[in-house]
Amino acid sequence: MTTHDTEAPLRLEGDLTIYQAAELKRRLMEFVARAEAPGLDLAEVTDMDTAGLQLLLLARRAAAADAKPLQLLGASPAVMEVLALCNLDSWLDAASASDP
Amino acid sequence: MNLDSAQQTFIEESRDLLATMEDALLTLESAPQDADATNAVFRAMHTIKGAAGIFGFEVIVDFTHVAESVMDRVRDGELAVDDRLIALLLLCQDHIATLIDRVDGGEEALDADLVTAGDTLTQGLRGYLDGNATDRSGAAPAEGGERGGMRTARSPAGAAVRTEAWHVSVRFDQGLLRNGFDPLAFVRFLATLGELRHVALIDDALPSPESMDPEACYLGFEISLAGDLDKATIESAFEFVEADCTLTILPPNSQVEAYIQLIQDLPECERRLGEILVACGSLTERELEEGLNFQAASVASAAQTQAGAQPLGEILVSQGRVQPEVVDAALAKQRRTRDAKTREARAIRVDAAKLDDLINLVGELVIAGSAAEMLAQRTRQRALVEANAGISQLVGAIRDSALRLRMVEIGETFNRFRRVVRDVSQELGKDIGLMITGAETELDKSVVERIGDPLMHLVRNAMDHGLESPERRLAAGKPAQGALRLNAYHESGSIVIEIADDGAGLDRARIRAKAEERGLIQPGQSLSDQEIDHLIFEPGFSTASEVTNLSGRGVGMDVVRRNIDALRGSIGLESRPGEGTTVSIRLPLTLAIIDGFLVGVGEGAFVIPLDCVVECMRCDPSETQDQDYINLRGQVLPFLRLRSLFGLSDPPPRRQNIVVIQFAGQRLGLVVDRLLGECQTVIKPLGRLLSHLRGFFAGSTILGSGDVAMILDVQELIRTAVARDAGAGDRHPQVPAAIQ
Repeated sequence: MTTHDTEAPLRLEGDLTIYQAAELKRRLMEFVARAEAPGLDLAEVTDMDTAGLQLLLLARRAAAADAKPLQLLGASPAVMEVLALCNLDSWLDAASASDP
Repeated sequence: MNLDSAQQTFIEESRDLLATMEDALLTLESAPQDADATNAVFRAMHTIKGAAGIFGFEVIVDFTHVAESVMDRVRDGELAVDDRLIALLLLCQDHIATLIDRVDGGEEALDADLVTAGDTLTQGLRGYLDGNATDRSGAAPAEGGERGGMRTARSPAGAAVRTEAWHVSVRFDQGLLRNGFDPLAFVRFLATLGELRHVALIDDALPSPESMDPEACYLGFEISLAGDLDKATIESAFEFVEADCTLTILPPNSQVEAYIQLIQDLPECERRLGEILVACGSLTERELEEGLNFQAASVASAAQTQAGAQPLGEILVSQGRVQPEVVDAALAKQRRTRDAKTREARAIRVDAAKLDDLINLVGELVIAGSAAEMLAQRTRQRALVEANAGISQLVGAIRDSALRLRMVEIGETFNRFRRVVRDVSQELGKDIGLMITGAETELDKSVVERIGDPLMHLVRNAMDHGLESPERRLAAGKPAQGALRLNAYHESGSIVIEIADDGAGLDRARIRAKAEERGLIQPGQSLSDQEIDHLIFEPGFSTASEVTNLSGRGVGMDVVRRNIDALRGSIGLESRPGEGTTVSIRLPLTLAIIDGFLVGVGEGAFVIPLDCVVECMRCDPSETQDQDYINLRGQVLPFLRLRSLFGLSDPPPRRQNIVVIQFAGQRLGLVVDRLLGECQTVIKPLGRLLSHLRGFFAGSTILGSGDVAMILDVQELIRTAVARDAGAGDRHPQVPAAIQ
């Protein structure tokens, strides 16, 4: 495992829905476990449903448990809409604020 | 499940619910504050409405809706239950039962009478709805849809929280995503209904990453929703997932307690939820503090006295916080809820036809089993005989369990009479109290179904003719309230049902006069009191000098007796002038299979129900030569010679036996040629061809050897013998003198 691996954000593309949930969970958990300062780029996500949102929250919690906050580095309109609906858009704001 | 069977389930469940509702209404009559009963009525209306909606029975939906709305107001304490409302609701229950009956009968269209009846009732109910101000949006006419796993908090009067928004709290079940629903869609839909003031996503239920199932749903929402809404509209958003979520909707301006209750009902940490509610604007910081502090204080005070290991309830009482009755009521309610739940989980619904099939098969098994046992005995191989004995023991056990499956408690039948007694006593202007005992006594379902009508007649009869008016009772030195008692118990293979009243008793002079007038007896004929009493069972006999609404329906006591006879039962009567009348019905526990005692007479084999057999003894020809009785340990025992009864002319064997049988307190000896031992007997009813044999035989059965054996009708035999001994055999074959 290289140092590059531990710093690069995870870029997710396409749909984050129940159809990808099993695979997505595996990727997210693996990523959170190995990354030093995990960051997620969701700018290319086309759709996100509750299953996807739930996995993001799970990843955030897992990361917090290891004392390394999971940062949201980018969000597509689809993701933004869900976050705004659930009153979670502060997550993105916090990320951009603390990521100058 | 196809639609037809689903509809059948709807019909059955609705009838159950209506029965529950009736019970609850009668409870409310004596205890108008009973919250459980109120809820039961509401639930019945509500559930029937919901189910009727599924099947598109609009008439039922519309009607139950109004009743439900009224009950909702009662539940909320906005409407007090009074006798008038209960009477109205009882009528509504009858009306719905009629509607359900029509559905059952496949008649969709209503006739004019039903429509009018429904409209009248609806108008009566609407009077209760319009009477008070309709300030509650929840009670708006459009209300509906609350079902299944949804809980709905109501808005009580009192210190209300200052907020104009509805609070929606929802937790989704794990299977929701797999069922193809996206909880976010519901939030989006709510946003189209009103203004989402605040949405808090609750992810506390998320498990650790290892155990988290990515396709399960762990989320919930606390939502503050403003707008001109009613409860039904909000609920409709969750209509399709009502079974898969826990939904609580608090209307604007709910009491603080309602929120605190919500906080405590939810699985998450109280403090955190409280903060979320504050964030939603549903509660203010201060309200939350006060509410939680009050709860905490109660808990703390409990903890302080924990050393004494006092239950919380007692502590609260000792501190004067709550009345003991309140705690008792709460405990009783908890217990009831628990009991109801376990009962529900224990019972399953089985098609009666399936049970009948099973019983038939068990019957065949019994026959086949005894054939095998007989063959085994013939081989004289000990091992085979023992193995067969083991099998027949098991078959016997299976037979008993199979029959027990069909056993139901008689209590349900008895409870129906609470309503009858109430209605009739009002109608007659009599004060009648109904006491039910032995409600847990079990008997065969097919018997229960057919005993209802005769019982109804006897109960009505007792109220109409037996019990006197309050004035006459007081004049006779009795309490104004007449007592009607229904009792049931088991006795030697039979169930005995008693209908007793403490009324005036039978008027023997009048019965006699009437019987003479009808030509049933000759003037001057000497009859015992009992024989006179039993005249009321004669066809065409009715003592009602005035035809009331209750009697004069063309159904007399003779019909009651015929019904009981058809069930292989008997009816007895005991009356004491001025003290009351007790009618006892004796019925066989089951109509299908019995333990029998096999005896031989001449060439044939006959079965005596084992329950009736007391003992067997050698018949001493020297003692019984010319008489029809023997001295049995100092008591006279009359007997019947089956040989002469059946007209067998060949000479009897040298040794004969007497089987002593007993039924309803009467004993009789039967002289038989041979004793053949016990056998399990599947009763086959006598066909029409053999119906002239009734009187001696109750049915037939097939023995292990394949031979047919007739089952002796013990009741009739005893009747015959007593009639013979009384010398009244020809004169009055109809008088059931056998019953004491």
